[in-house]
Amino acid sequence: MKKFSDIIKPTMVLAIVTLIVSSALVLTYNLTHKEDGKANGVSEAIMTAASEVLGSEAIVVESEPTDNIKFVFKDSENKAMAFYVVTKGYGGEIHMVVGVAKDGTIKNAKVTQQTETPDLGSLIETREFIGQFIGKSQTVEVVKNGAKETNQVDALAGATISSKAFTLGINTALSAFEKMKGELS
Amino acid sequence: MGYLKTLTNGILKENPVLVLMLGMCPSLAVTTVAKSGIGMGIATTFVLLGSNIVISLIKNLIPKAVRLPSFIVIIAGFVTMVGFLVEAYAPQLNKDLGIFLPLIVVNCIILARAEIFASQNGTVKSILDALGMGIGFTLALFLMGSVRELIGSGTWLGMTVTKELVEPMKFFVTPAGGFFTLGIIIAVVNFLTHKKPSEKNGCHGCPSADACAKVSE
Repeated sequence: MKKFSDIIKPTMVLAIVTLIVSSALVLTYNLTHKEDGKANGVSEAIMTAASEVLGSEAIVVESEPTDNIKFVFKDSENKAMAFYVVTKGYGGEIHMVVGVAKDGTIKNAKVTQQTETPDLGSLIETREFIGQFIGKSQTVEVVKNGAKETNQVDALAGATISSKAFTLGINTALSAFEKMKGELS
Repeated sequence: MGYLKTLTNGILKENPVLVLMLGMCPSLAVTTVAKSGIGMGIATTFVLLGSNIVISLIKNLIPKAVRLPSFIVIIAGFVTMVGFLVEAYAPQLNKDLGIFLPLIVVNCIILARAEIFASQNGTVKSILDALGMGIGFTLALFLMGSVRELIGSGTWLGMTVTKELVEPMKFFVTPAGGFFTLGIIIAVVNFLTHKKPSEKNGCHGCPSADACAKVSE
């Protein structure tokens, strides 16, 4: 019975081990993935960020109108819209929520996910950087030697690519708003 | 070997990161801040504990031919389980550890302890070994994270410490700074434990010894 102990027994043992481990995993998965809190495929975290940017409870208007825009939100009083935009930064994707007020100016923005260089590109998350964009209504341009025109902002020192990626997100939201502002009436 | 010694072995004398040099990749990658060092340490300890217990229990039932595959399946199972739990209950930690959480599967510490220790010792000893190694790993990562966070960002566990006084040296947050910190910490630990290179280690053990000798002639 050499065949049994050499080939069949090890195979069976391995199969049993795998089976037990998989069952344990199914159990854990069911325990931990009960309530994802997802509405229309939008996670809780994104909804919270959108509500924060809009200043009141966000409502999902549309999902993936374009490749870069994953979700479109508005508030219940039709005062502003928010766009969940994904752009490519220096270290990977930058996910952000951009709020545009009814008059077509940037209301607020928030970075929800980024993998930029710590303390250089990651500063796109800061109020100091994002604050520059609030109130802008035309396509924003990043400059390195001090913003002069109303549609210009200062790049972060040592992080031009991250700054440009964030700005692209803002501009994407602005042009999407132009096309979709009918939703607010 | 006494029970207490089994437990304390992993903390300094056979510290997995600083003495055995296992699990270098997560040690360097996640220790930019002290907090994720602790998180990684606890996650690894949990996996180590689970796999050591299970493997020490079933070691006699597993045929030799499929010993390693079975161990890997068990370890991978625990890692995925930890992944699910962290994702559900600590999403921020999940974000900080990123890819290195699932990569605990290939962390040499776990397979090494399964192979060297759990497959040859009883369950109680294996639990103590897992705890000792886990604590050693966590402490090493916490130490590295603390040094890098304090010097590199001027904060510690998220609290501002020297940020306002001294300009943080961002170099320490970068991968190169990680190697630098690790080297210094290993040197300090070797100094404290009076570890000398073993007599057996020499040129004759090295595969490039012949080529090396020719060059130096």
